[in-house]
Amino acid sequence: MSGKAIIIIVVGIVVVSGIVLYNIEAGSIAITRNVDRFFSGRAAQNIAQSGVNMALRQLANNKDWRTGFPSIDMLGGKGFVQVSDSTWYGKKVIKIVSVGILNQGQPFEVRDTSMAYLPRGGVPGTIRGLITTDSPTSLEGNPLLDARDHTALGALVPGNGTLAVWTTKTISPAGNPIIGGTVLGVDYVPSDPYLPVVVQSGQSYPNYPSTPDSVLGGSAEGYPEGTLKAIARSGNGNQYATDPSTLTYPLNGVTYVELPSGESFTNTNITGSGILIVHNSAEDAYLENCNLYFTGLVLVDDCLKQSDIPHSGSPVLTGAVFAMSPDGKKGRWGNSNGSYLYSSEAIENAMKTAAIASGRSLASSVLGWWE
Amino acid sequence: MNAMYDLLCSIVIGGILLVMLVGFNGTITEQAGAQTVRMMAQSSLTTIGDLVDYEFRKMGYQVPKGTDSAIVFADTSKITFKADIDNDGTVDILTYELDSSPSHNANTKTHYLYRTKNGQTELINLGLTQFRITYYDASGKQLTSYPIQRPSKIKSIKIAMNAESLVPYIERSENYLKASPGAYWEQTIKPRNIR
Repeated sequence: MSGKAIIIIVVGIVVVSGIVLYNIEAGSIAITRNVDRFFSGRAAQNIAQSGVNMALRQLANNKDWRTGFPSIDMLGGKGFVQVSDSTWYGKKVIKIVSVGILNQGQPFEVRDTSMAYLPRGGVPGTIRGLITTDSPTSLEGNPLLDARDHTALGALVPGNGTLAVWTTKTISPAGNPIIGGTVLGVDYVPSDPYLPVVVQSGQSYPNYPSTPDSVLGGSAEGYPEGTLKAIARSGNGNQYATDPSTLTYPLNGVTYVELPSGESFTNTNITGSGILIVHNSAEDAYLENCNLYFTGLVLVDDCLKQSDIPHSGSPVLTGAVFAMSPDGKKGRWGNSNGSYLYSSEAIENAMKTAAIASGRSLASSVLGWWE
Repeated sequence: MNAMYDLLCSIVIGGILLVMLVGFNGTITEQAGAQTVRMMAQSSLTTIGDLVDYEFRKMGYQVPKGTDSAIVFADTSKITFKADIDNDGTVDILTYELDSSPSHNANTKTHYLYRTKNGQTELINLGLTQFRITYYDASGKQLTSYPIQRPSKIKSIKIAMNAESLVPYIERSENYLKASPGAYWEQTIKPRNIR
């Protein structure tokens, strides 16, 4: 073999080896790039999910926070978080959209999006009237029941109200109640005698809600059993009591009064707003002979009577009342000269306090996570 | 004589060099092949990993609360769950199942992965040799009785997958015969919609 041939063979082998080494290198780069892409995807996902969690934390402290995080550096990338009011399959929600970006502006930019939908409140579908009951309903005294819609401050909102009384059982006016409401968008001014069209009795409601959480929609709406009690116990203005005399006023947020069976929350001037719950597992906790200067939602097992105890000014309950007990033993409503005004705004405000209770972790309230 | 001696030495040294070069070339050619096979296996694995990660995280999305769980069936190599995967308001039923019989690929260690969505089955033939699912409860304790009797206890899921090339490849240059280089992927997913 001549020297020239050897040189050609050696050069050939070197060239072939070079090509093969290049291929190995290319393979290594591809593997590394694949790992990098996969890792970047997970990192972007972490950023996006962290953005959602940060937004939930902000909302826990301030239910009206909608600023979002327009751009925030974290975990080696960037996060963009938007918070807005929206609807999600017919439900009013706060929508959190968080985008995590790694290697922004570079050839291997990776993005990931996480979304969470948080209940915003709104009038629960269970509220069928200014007073909704599952037991015979006796309207006592001379109360004003105005189920036309009002603002939380009591100004009339035309055409948006509801029925004055809605019950699965009977209605028996024992006194001279002054009753009005809205039917099919038509407002009926309160009158005595009242127009029968503004009340409905003998209605059907399969699986009538018998607990506070189910009134607010239960698990499907982010209120699994025990949620409202947990909120009430969380402090930050919310209150839980088995002895109503320990409550401090004005009430705000969620106030949960769990009474022994058959006992009443009575002889008290109740001021404040939010959600007032008077309930026990036997469904026979009563709220009677109190003056209610209250704005929001009142959930009581059975019986809500405004008081005859001395008071200054007319007690007004602005919002709605829901009775949870089936076939309540008392079934007495009204009494005295107090007023009941329906207010969707007051109910929505109350629902906000339950949806986003101050300082509470909101992760368990999220209706849906998209990530 | 000296010229003959020089020629002989040159042939010997040149020969050794040539043999070394040929051997080196053979080794790196084999390494290049193995590298390519590894790359393909890894790409296959990350493709499945992306799909699994995307869909398993949606588990329970839009599923009405009150049912026992969004997870319908949970076994070591098969899982059926509900989720609105397309975000179109309709809850879908998805099943992932590793075929226990060997695939018809040349590498008979590989198995088919079946992905069934609302009754429509897709065959995923990306060289999976392992697809093992383990389940954990809320406290992080592994659930060990398969199939899981109460899927509502499942709060997190670990998926372990191994992929190899569809054709067998043996690296003979190693100290031992290393069959079909592959890649391994493992991830624990905590779907936030199952509560």
